Amino acid sequence: MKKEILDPMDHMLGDFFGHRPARPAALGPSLDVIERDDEVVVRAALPGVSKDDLEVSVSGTLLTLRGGAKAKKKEEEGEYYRAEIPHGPFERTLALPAEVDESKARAAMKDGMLELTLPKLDKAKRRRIRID
Amino acid sequence: MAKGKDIEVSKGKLERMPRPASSLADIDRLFDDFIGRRWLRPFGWERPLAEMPEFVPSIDVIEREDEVVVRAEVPGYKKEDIEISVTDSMLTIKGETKTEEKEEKGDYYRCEISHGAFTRMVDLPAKVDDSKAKAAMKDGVLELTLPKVEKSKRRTIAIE
Repeated sequence: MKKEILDPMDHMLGDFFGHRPARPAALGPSLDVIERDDEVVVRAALPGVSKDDLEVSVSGTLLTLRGGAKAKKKEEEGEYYRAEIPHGPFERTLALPAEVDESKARAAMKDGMLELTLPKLDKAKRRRIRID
Repeated sequence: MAKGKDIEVSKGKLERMPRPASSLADIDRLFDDFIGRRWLRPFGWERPLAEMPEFVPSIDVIEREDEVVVRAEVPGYKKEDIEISVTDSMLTIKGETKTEEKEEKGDYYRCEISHGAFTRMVDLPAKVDDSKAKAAMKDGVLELTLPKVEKSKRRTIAIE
């Protein structure tokens, strides 16, 4: 059985010194979104998530990442002395800065990081305006 | 990265939201600001580097009969970037992205992942033998197996 053992003192001190996860796990994975002239790059921190257990979908300018559902809840041998790593399904939807063509999207996983390259639709490409 | 097509990106079934995307993004940001940061600061003071939170890996520590297993989430870090040291029953995990941070082409629309240096110390439930420790990295998760020293192994006491 997994036990949530939280040392209140450690937590207080941890908080005080800024030693806490940058983002509460309940909100889903941390993301970087980078807008380039003709593509949008999304990086997501997904440690321990295998690519078979991840679903990426795009709808208009909304990107949804879903996963963790297939992760086996195998019984952990031993006692949890500290349990901070979230287990179980996660989902996050975010707005992209432009409309993208999901049929040309590329995705890769490396070292627990997902990198998505989403080419923009022609009409959403950035145009530079020259000052005459 | 992002050369192949390892993961399929599918067209979602969601209907487009009736309101413009920009307002949705604003709501998302507001929500993030409110939920993501505020409640973690019960006293209301701002951390000096609030815009760039220091990365601290989440850790699980599992005590077994004669070993201690530690798992740490270190997405984006390579094994060369991680340094592990043990003193008695205190474990220190340090990370540093040694590869020079290359200038990102484009504008950051959202920036939540930090890749800087971190140090995390955790106390272990027992004294461990660092000479027999094993460490492995997979999918951004570091797993350490630390055998206990003989005298701190768990003993079951029989009630007579």
